[in-house]
Amino acid sequence: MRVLGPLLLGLVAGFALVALGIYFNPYTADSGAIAGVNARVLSYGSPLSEGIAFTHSGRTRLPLHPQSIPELWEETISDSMLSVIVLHDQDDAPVGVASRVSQFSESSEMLTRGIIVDDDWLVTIAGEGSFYVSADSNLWPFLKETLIPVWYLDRPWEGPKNYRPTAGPAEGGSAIVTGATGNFIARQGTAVESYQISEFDKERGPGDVDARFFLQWSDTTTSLAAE
Amino acid sequence: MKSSFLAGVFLGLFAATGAAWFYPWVDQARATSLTTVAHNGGRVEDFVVRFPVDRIATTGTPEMGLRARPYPEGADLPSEMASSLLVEHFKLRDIEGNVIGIAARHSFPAEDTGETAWSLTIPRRGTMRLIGASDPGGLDRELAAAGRIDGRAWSGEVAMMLGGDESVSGRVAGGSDEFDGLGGSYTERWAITGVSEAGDLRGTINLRTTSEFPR
Repeated sequence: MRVLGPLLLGLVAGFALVALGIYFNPYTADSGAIAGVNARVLSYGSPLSEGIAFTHSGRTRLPLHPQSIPELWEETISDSMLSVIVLHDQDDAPVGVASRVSQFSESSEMLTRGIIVDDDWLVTIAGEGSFYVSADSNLWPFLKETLIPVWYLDRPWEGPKNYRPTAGPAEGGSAIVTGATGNFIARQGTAVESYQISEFDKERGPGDVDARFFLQWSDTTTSLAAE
Repeated sequence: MKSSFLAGVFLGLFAATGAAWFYPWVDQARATSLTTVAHNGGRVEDFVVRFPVDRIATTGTPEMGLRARPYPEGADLPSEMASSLLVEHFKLRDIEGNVIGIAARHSFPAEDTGETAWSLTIPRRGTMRLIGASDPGGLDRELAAAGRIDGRAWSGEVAMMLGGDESVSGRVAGGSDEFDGLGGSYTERWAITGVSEAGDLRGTINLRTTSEFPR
């Protein structure tokens, strides 16, 4: 007992130190604000309320949209989410649609990467063409600062919050963009995404969201890495 | 006592760090890939979509025909959208009928015909990209030729292959993970056996991909 007691106490202290380290780990923190980039900016609202469609396995608190949309209940796709969103240009006119399939990535780990979501986008800008986006998004800052405290620890939300979830797979923490059809054929580029969440409801989740998608083709000059 | 405590701290540090690094935070189910080897090289993989059970969400501008009717109700495109567009989302099955992924299909008119981009996302395998032809009003024309009248239920058999009389509908344009760098071709065949009064289709889409990694 004289050995076991202190050993267990030490074990708990060791775990607590690592937990603190993970919580404040700078390697898994948000990538920071985006500023001064020469990019096409497409904006969209919350896919949960302002998008065309949003669905998942039905096992989370996030609401389906529209409510009658089929759930992704089958075992092989039950960890996936589908968002279909309307993209707006800088004059707030709707210019395109993005279909986004998100799933938790097996590359998630808490020391250097965070909780990573693989995002595969198919985007069509009406009258221009389609392109694909392959993105790694780090969900950990959002989970740590918003979702876990409000939903699971019953604490008041301290918003508004800004997030830049895109964390790869391209250098500088950007997503890879590949042109598919129309004006975008054979073009390559990068993209990053940012969110400003102005409202987070304990029951319904994110309410007022201003999301921006910064798109840059490789024939333009500056980098989309965080500045 | 002090050394026991320190030993415990180090043990806790190692165990928790190891768990943070090695613990499989995400462990998704993986469907077996049902591929066959083509006679002239490459691999062949078939994907199937069954109507109406595999439809997740569909919307489009009215001129894109029957398939552009919003599903489910409320999945509407903004009326201000300036150009024609059709976006469809399905559960994706393998040749044995197992649901293995999610497919998104975007198409829009371009010059004489139209263009289509598919994104086939299969958890733990990656996303396969297909780019090809589309014929936005083609299915409506074929159904009308087979006797379907708007607003009435119809049953029969309509088969069509996207891309016209060519032997391919488009190309396999790589993708992510397992499909990164993959090239080849695909065929897209629609077999429709009925349409409800509301315009819901009954039938299948078969996507046959023939692909290989460049040498």
